[in-house]
Amino acid sequence: METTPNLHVAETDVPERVGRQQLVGLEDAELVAQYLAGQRFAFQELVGRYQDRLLNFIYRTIGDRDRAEDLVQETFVRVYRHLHRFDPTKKFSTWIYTIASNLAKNELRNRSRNPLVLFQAIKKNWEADHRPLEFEDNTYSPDDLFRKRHLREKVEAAVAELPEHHRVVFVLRELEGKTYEEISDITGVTLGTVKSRLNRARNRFAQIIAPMLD
Amino acid sequence: MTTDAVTMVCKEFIDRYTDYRDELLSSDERARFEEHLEDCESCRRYERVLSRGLTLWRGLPVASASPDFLPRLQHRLYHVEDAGKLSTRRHLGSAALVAVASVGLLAVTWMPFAARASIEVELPAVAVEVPVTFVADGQPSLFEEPPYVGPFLAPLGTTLDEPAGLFTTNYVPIRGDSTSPTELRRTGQLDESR
Ligand SMILES: [Zn+2]
Repeated sequence: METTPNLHVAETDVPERVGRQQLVGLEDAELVAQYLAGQRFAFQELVGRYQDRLLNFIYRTIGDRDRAEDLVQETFVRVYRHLHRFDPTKKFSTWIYTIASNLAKNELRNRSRNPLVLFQAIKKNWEADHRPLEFEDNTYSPDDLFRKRHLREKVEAAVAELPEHHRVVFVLRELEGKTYEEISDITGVTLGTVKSRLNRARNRFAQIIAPMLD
Repeated sequence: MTTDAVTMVCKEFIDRYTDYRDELLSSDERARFEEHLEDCESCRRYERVLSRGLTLWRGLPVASASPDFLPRLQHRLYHVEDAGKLSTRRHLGSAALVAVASVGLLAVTWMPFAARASIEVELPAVAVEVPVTFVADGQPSLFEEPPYVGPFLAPLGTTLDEPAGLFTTNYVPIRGDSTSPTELRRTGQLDESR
């Protein structure tokens, strides 16, 4: 990556196509421009950057890992279809998180008729994730491990208990580290609403877990 | 805990805790929050529980996409482009039918015996579909010239630096629960109402 040509899409309509090795050093919006200029690997680079981040975001929001993976796939399909419509003056991550967030919200809405599904999905995921006890940190005694595992399970259930629109904001802030402005763009609500939802979500989360942690 | 309005009551602390935690306060206001924390065991407990809970939650195992994620995605994107082409072909097919019918009608009209007997040809109505464009015209198609090796990938032979087999799959069956595009579309509608 010794020479990086000027790739800013705002300055030129069609950027100079770069070699595959150079893609790693590009910004997301530059990758979009590269893909539209015919660099096929640019989209693959975007997928690599976002697949696990989106998976964890959707997984923590809807509580079902397998379904989350399907929704991440759907997110990329939509991005692919509408890539030519991406506004390079905006943040690509905000755009892709907006699509993922809408898919997660619709999933929850469709499921709200059957709240048991969410709980069962969390339970299933938990059992799948935590079965091999011996692979965990062995500096703790089995009792410590059991307690830690139990607490994590309760903490995860507490997040699942949050109202849907509070949970999305909570996950974006506490897990993804998004700013209030980004969360506002992603969820389409005002900064004030982001703040009040986040505060209520933190408050409710603390109330639920307080008896276990104190 | 105090009810003195000059300092702070617990309700204000909890109501505006997000401002305090995310450092959105002026230094004076921040000092009021810190002062309240020093005096109030209840709010100290709140902060302790929240911080500990968040640490535990963030320590949960991080999910990684399954190994077949990329091949499955390639397969789906292939169909995105394929669907666009199919509808274009249907459109062209309908146009061709109209053209053939028109030529046929002209030929019949210009036949030498046309003067002797007028022939009426009634053609069925032809519906011409407007093609659905799934991928923009300007967007590069990945399935044109070289043999197809998967969406957003270079043709075979230029990917020697890739692990064998990972990016050269022609066909990967989609997992059972992903094969229902109807359901995916239904649950995945963009939320226009918000
Ligand atoms: Zn207090």
